[in-house]
Order: sequence, then C-alpha cells, then structure tokens
Amino acid sequence: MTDKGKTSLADLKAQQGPVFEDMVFGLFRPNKHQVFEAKELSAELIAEFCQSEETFGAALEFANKLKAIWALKYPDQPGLKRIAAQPAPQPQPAIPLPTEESPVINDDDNAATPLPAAQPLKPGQIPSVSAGAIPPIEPVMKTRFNLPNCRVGVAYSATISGTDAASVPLIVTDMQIPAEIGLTFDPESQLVTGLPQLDGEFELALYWRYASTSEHNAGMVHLIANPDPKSLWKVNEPAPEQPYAKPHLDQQLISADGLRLLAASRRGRSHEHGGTFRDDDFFLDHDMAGSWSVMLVADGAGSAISSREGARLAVHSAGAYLVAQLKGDVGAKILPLVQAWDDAASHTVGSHFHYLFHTAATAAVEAIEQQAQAAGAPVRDFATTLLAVATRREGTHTFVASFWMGDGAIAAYGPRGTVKLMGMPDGGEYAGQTRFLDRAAIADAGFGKRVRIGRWSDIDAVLLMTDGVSDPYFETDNGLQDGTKWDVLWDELAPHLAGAAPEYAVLDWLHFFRQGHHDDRTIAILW
Amino acid sequence: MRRLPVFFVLDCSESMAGENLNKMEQGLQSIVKKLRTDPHALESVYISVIAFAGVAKTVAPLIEVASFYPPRLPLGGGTSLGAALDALMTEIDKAVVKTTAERKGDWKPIVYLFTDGRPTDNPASAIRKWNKNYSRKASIVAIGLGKDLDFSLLGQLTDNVIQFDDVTDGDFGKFVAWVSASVVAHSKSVGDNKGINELAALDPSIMRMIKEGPQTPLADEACVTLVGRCQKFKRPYIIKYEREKKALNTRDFKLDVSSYHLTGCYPLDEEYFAWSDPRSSNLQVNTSALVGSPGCPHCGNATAFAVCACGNLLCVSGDGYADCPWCEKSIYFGSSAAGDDGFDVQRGRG
Repeated sequence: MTDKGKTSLADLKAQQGPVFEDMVFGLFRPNKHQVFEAKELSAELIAEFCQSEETFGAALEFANKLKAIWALKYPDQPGLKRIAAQPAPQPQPAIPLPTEESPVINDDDNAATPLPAAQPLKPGQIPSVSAGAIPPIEPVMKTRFNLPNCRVGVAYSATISGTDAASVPLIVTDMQIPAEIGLTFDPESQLVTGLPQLDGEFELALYWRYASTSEHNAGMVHLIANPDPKSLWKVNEPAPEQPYAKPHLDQQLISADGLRLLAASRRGRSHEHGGTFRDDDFFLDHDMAGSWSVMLVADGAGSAISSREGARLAVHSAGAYLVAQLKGDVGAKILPLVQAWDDAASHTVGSHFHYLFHTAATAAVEAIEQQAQAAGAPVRDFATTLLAVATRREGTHTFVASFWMGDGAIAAYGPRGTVKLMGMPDGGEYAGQTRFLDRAAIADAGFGKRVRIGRWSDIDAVLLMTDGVSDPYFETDNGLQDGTKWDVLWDELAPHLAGAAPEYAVLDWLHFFRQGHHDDRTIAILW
Repeated sequence: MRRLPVFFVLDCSESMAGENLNKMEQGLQSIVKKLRTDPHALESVYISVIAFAGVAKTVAPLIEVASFYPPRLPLGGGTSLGAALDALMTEIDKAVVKTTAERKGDWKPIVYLFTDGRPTDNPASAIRKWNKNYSRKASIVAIGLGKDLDFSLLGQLTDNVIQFDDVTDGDFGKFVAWVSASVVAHSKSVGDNKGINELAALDPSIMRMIKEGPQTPLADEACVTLVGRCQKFKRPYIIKYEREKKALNTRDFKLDVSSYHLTGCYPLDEEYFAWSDPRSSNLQVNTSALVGSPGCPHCGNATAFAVCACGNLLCVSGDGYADCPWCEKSIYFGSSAAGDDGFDVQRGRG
C-alpha cells in the first residue's frame, strides 16, 4: 500500500462505511442466531448504531483480522479484495434523512481519478449510478402472532396463530415460556395450555417456519394475563377524622314467641376499596306483649356525602315511632281487625297503616332535617332510601304491612315458588338513580301506593333487603316477580338460618363475590 | 351486571404515518393495561375501537377489558370525520344494550375521539344526526393532537374539546395516563351509583380545554404525504414531509418557510388502499417545496421518489429502464442534474 500518510478513521469511514454498515446491520436480521434483538428498536436507532464511528472501527478491525487469518491459511489463494466505496443509501426498513455527501474514492494502490462527489438527491431526481452497484436487500420479515388473553387462576387452552406480512399462515416450532407463568406449549397441536399464575403482559420468544420449509426464524408473541379480579379489591380504612363514623359490620338476632328475626349489614367491596363507610343501616324490634315485629332497612345515596347518617337516622326514628304506636292504642285498635280480616276490616287496617307509615316517614325526614341544620349542610347530603315492615304472626297466618321508598325489595316468601312482592322499586328504566326520602315524596299524591298490606298462610319468611342483595339475585323488576329466583335466594339462606348464630352466618354470607355487584349489603328476615 | 362501553375513535390518516401511529397504538395499549389493573374498570368497562382514514371501520368490536387484544392500527389517505361518526353511531346502535324489563342495560357510553387534522369529507350531516339522536345517549371527548385542527367543528359535536400538545418526550405518557384515569373514575362513579358526568382534571402543561374555536387560518398544512410503490416487490410505501415544528410556534406570525423536510419513508401494505378515500383528489404539491428524497424501504433502491409518466411514484436504483408497478409499462428514466426546476406531483389528503 502506498503510504498516504495517516488516514483518520473518519476518512476511512467516509470511504468504506456502507460496506461495514451493511455487515453490522445483518446482525440485526431476524434468524435463529441473530446477535441483536431488533424487534423493539426503531430503525433510526439501528441506523445510528450501524453508522457510528465506533461501530465502524470495530467492524474494520474484525474484517482486518479475518483477512489476516485468510492470508495465513491460504497464502496462495486469491480472495483478498480491496473494498471499493459504495454510495449511499443504506438498506434499512425506514429511511432516515440522507446525510452528508459520501465521496466515491477507490482504495487502490494505483489511485484512480476520484469520481465527482454525489450530492443528495432531490425529489424526482434520478441518480446516474446504474442499478448493478447496489444489490437490493430482502425486506425484513414482518410477522404477527396471536394468543387470546388468559386470566390468573383460570384454566387456559388456546391455539397460537400467526401470519407473515402477506397473510401466509405460519407454524410455531418452539416457544420459550418462563416457568413462573404456568403455561406450556405443545408444537404438535400448536396449543398453549396450563393454569396461569402470574398477571401482566409478556413478550414471549418463539421460533416459526413456513409449512413448506423447515428453516426456523425467530419471532415473538404478546400475551396478556389478566389478574384475578378478586385480588384487585383492596380494603382501606376511612380517615379517622371523618364524621358520622359507622362500623363496617352490624348484625342482630331476636328470638321470641316461637319465631326469629335477624338483620345483617355489611360494607361492600366498592367502599372497602375506596376507604369509605358503609351507607346501609337497619332497625329491628319485637314486642312480646302485642307480638308485633318491626323491621326497617335503608340505603344511603352514593353521591350524598353524609347519607350513612341519613340512613341511620331514618331507620331509628321511623322504627321507634312504629314500635311505640303498635304497643299503644293504635296497635290495640288494629289487632282485632287483623284477626277478623274481612273486606271492611282489611280496608280499615290499610288506612291505619297509611297513616302510621306517613307519620313514621315524616319523623325520619324531620330527624334528618334537624341534623342537616345542626351541621349547616343541605338536606340532600343525607339522602337515603327507606323500607319498613310491621308484621304479626298468629297460628298459621302472617300479617304484613309495608312501606317502600327507593330500591331494594320487600317480600313475603312462601310456599316454594311463590312470592308476594310488597310493591315495586323506584327508579325503573334510567340509570342508577332511585327515589329518596324527602318532604316532596311524603307529600306526593302517590304516597299511598308505597303502602301495602296482606295476610297469608304458609309464609316461610318475610324479607327486606337493600339493592346490594336484590341486584345480584334479581337484576330487574321482572326478576323480582319471579318466584324461582326467590327460591334460589332462599335455598342459599336457609342453611345459615338453621344454625345457632344465624345473624353471624348471614353476615358472613353477605360477603359473597359477584362480578359487577359491590354495593353495601343489608338483609332483614323474619322466619 | 351493567357494562360501561368506551369507544375509541382514532384518526389513522396519512399525517399519522410513522411515529404518531406507533404512539397511538402504544397509547391504546397503555390505557387498556391500566384498566386491567383497576377492579371497577376490569369488570365493567367494555372497549371498542373504530379507526378512520378515508373510510371508517370498526377494528375492534365491543368486548370486555379482560379479553381485549390491542388491534394493529391501519393507515390510509384522507380524514373522513363524517364517515367516522356514522360508523360510531352504527356501532352504538348495534352494541349498546338498553335497559328492558328482562335486563339491566349499559351505562351511558363514553367516546374518545382522536384526530390530528382537518376533515377531508363533509361531516355536517353526520354531526347533525349525532346532535339530534345520540348526544343524549353518549358523551364525546374530542382530543385534537397538534394544532392543525378545526376546533370549531369539533365544538359543534361536543363541549369537551381538548387540545393536546405533544412537545416533549414525557407528554404522551402523561396524556395517556389522563385518559386512563378518566375512564377509571367514570367506571368507579357508575359502580358507586354516583352518576357524575365530569371530566378528570386536565394537566395544563400538555392539554387545554378549547371553549371557543380559535380562528386558525386555513393555512398550509403541517405535513405532505406521497404514496409510491416498490418496483421490485410491488409493495406500497408512504413518504412523509413535515414543516419544521418551530415554524408553527405562533399562529399569527407566519414565517416565510414554505418548504417541507423529509421525515421518513415508511413501508405500507395493500390495506392502505382499502382505508383510503375512494374519491380522487386533486391536491398537488410542487417538488421545489420538498427537501430531501428517500430510498425505498422495501428493497433499498436509491430513490423512492421517481415519478412515472402515469403520475405515480415508484422506486428506482438509477437511470435506465424500469417497470412501473402502477401502470405496468416499461419506462426509461434518465438521470437528471441537480439544477432542474420543480414539478407538481399528486399528494395525499393527509
């Protein structure tokens, strides 16, 4: 070689760069033993790496070393070639801006006249170098593999499918699935099976081939593993300074007169996750003397900030009023009418209870208004539903008088397959909004429709519940009228009612997991 | 169990080619990933994706988050907002469940509409139809990416018009986080029976609510796209030129920079044509306004910007005969000196 003086690396790179760039780029091409994983990299990054001076230096060194080995092994063979510089462009999937001019110079002992420097092309301009100098490259093989999503703890079996850019189907020959994920791949059936253990999103390496050949290529598939929904629900405590604190759980049992009544109330998963209080509440009473039982449940409005207090005030004030009235003169007047139960009598009973429930509801509203005023807050902050029942059993007959404001359900259940629904929930068609207890609702001409009475034989139980229980079991108004759905509910409850501490058993049962139903749950039962 | 349907209506026009489309795909993936980890969202949110360019199609029908597999987004010529709205309304009719006596229906759906450009069809009648029959049935959040938008048009569709400025690296991540948080909050509020209809707070450093449409002049667009075909593999590609971003800093002060710089040349597949507006476009650009000429992304040929007599672009390696993959004639390409004047070529609608 003529001594041209020290040629800098940059100069060499300007002359010979493209050859080595191509060589290094080849290490990114997908094949079984590729050196670099190109899938996640941008074309610009790969280009930058291939074109850097450092890379060029290392590649040049490597080529020189190979040349030296060849010269040693085959001193008499031809093969050692001087590298003629090639003009740009570089073969890459997305072409970045062409940069500086690359001078075309022959690295030859007998230095020929250098060709004129090529300038960057303008749009529409055709370069004068003919096609032979640059061999076109194989396009990067774009493939896409699919696996349906899996879920932790749910048995999985799915076929992997994949195609190339021309939609030709591919066969997967091998797949590397980390053991912790819990899945395995069977090449024979192309099935991925197992019980997923880990949630997250995974890029799984695989090898594939065309049906017609046996040559393997590398690829990957994106697998999504959903977490077990139950594991996502957290339990958080409300901030200690929050007013109107209420315990997350409550329960009560009354055994007397050969009958039993219980209530259980539980904070729902939604409030647990959000770190807020239970909005539901209940009230139970049984008078041994007159044999009257009084049961109330209430559900504070989700959007009302102090509704838990509203629910509590409503059930206690309305409940106390009803108990007092039934113990006193009114109760004494009603009793013979209930026992007689002819048309006239029942009509009068109805009027009595209309009055009783109207006054009870008013007492509830007044209690809330008082509290609202004391707190300097609007009444609507305490919005709540209210469901109330006064019931008396005599012999085989059960008399029930009920008041229904809001959602949830009140029913006399029995015999099997039959239910006497004591009204219909408010709200009907639109959204999650229902009717709450307020002055307007009490003054409304339709108030009477909320009061129902009835006397039946062979009643298994009288039940009241908030929508946290009725929604998962009945879903719609139609569902509430379906006796078989009540059978399902009763079949689940009955075993818990049989034991020694049924109020705790039912409280526990209220924790059941039902997707989409995470409201507070309250139920009151007389059986 | 009541479902919360969420519709993503995504602009897949040519101006999204390259980085933007990638970001949108990844953004969608991130949003869904976040939804998967929230208990309310995981069990109540159902997602559907409608893509639109010259035509609009549902690329992912309404499906629960747990089963949702992020679709590959297409690319096409045109921004047919009217077609997108029609497709959305059809999908709502088809997929959203109303409450009946037998079954509790879906919550009011939310629609996230992303677009980065002006509509190239006439969306007026679709907007009218939406406002008449659907605006009470679903809420739309319209998000404009960048500045080249018709905000007053979007304002006719919804009050929630947000402009997203994607300037620095972390911005898109923040934006995606905002969309996720907004969906999660909505699913929580319906789960708690709150029924609140407010948007989550916007991050003012990257997004702002547009109340009155700023009167953006109908100036030159931010990008020029051209479609060509590889001579060897016959596959299409798209060349993208963008006006330098700093030239757009002030709306009122128009810099005299009427040139576009090459930002990339991206491979396409035949799907591109299925997604493009079938109506022919007369939009032209003069090559003197374009700086830079790319090689072919499919085969590495020296230039992807060779123009055939039939008016279409193809790639050639140098002078000589070439077979035009469009008109299939054999054409001689002579090399030209650098000093030639520019000429007009047909460009994409954007």
